[in-house]
Amino acid sequence: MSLKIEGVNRSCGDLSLKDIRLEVRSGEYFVILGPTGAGKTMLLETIMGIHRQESGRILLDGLDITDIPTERRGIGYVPQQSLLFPHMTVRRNVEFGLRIRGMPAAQLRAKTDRVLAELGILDLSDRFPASLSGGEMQKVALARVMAIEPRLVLLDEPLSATDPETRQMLRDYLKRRQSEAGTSFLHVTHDQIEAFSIANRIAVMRDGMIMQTGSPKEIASNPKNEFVARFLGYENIFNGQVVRCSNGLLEVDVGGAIIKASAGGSGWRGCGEGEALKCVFGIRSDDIHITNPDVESENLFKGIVEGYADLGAIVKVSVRIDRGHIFHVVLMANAFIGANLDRGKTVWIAFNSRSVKVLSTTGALNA
Amino acid sequence: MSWLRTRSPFMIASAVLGAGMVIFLMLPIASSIVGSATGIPGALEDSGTRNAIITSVYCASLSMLFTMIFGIPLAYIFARYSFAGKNFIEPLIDLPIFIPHNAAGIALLMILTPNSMIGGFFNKLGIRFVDSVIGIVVAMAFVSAPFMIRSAQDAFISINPAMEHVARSLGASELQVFRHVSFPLAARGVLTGCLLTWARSMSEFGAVVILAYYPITAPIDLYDTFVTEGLSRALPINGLLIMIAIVILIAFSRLLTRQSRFLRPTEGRS
Repeated sequence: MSLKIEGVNRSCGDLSLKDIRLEVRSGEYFVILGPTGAGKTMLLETIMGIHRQESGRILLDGLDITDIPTERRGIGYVPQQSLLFPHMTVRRNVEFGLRIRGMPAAQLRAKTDRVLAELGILDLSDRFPASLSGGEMQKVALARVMAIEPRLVLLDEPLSATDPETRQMLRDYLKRRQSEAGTSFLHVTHDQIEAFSIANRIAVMRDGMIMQTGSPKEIASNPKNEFVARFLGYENIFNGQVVRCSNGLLEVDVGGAIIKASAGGSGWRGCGEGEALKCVFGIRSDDIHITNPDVESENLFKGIVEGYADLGAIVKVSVRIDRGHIFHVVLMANAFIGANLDRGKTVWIAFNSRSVKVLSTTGALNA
Repeated sequence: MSWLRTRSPFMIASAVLGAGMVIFLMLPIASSIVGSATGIPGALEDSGTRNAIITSVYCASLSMLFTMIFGIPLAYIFARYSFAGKNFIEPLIDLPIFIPHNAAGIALLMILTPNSMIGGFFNKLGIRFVDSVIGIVVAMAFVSAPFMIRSAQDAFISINPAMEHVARSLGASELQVFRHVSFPLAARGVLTGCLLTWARSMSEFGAVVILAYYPITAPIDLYDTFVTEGLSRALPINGLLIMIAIVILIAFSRLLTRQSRFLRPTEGRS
């Protein structure tokens, strides 16, 4: 089932949806990624028919569903907090949609057993929701929706209340359902790792607007603006003056430090002969390496370690280069130990020009 | 004394004041039961008293049914929807609690007497309110309906509307959502409303005595006996009515406990 959203607008208090346009193709796993308050849940509720959009159209397989009530849209919905029916056992929760459809008892039981077994919760069938853990509740909520075999499923942060093992299990299950049953998924989350690990395509959302849509690779390698870049982990964002632009290579002056960047990307508008522009560019912290002065690199800077944050498997190191700018570098924990880094130590950092993404270009012709 | 040493002054003060309230509430009831215990079997043998109690139980049950049928949908509307005039209508629901009950009886009499427009209309259909069971039920329902509406409304408000949305996304119509999700989850509040409505109806005197003196209900029988035959004859009826109230209260409490069992964890969370 394909979903097309055409210019949907809606406002409610401080939240609003502004000219939302996106398409979830049939059998696609589409993720909307955005911070809290971006309007992700409001968008899902509008697609469900819980709220009515003020303008725009929502099309399911080409059919405008604006006037179709929620129960007849045929869209599955897994809310953020599971919202299991507390007066029903796990089995009755999962059977709910099937009973509403009047499925015969024997078929009902077999189908419920199958879905519960697929999610590894058959042994919980007779328990009430109040006795389940967050992860178990989320599995039951998913089973309840999957039992009715919707062709499009909306998932509102479905993995946020789960432990890593359950998260991986649910991720695998969702991908399997997508490939085996051809179910389309629209999944919203604020977790970029979750989004990149599961999506065929991603839309980044902020303040009720879709900022960028594309494949995970497209978005990660070519963020459209500063917000998307920051949200995707581009921690090194600088403003600079383009001082040279030739053969697809830029030289950007950032307070005296010359950084080489490859021309291109969604934020680069190009420069003509004699034109000098200001630009904002970003570099992912995992694209910068701690190295030595002998290495050949387009961007090689000497600096001192300002500090570091040990995050378990990785360590985030802050390096202040001679011109005063601070670069954030991510190292694997063992590499950090091997490099014997400490505050005040002199180090060299390097990154290639392709890692420097121009996010926006402003300015005028140089006089 | 060790209990006193391990508790804070606030806790001790609260316990003392609370105990005072319990005594205040229980002492008259206990003294009525003790003072009338030997006369209760005799009161039960009196056909007039027996009939009055039966009339009260019957009419209070009908009043409860009436307020359920009309009050629960209203409570759901108040809990779930906003509409023009809601802020004006909603507080009016509590008005019957605030006005003196004999004033409520007179207000009902004004519109239900056969020579009024509404009373006249029903009179043509053969339905009389003055001095009839229907009149008693109407008077009881009028003064007790706010308890049903408010209890049910609070219960519906406590249900996350998103749960109802989920039920609809699973294919349930609004009516099916109400039947399978909202009402069962609000049942505890509705049952509480039933208990309060029934109890308030059973004990209603002021409105009933004005609209429908006959057939005589238990509170009117008690009042009549007290006025005409004195305290000693009224005491056993008084004890009997209190005993009935206690039995009903215990029965409802058990029902409420059973009804809410699914909300408690049956096993520890893993």
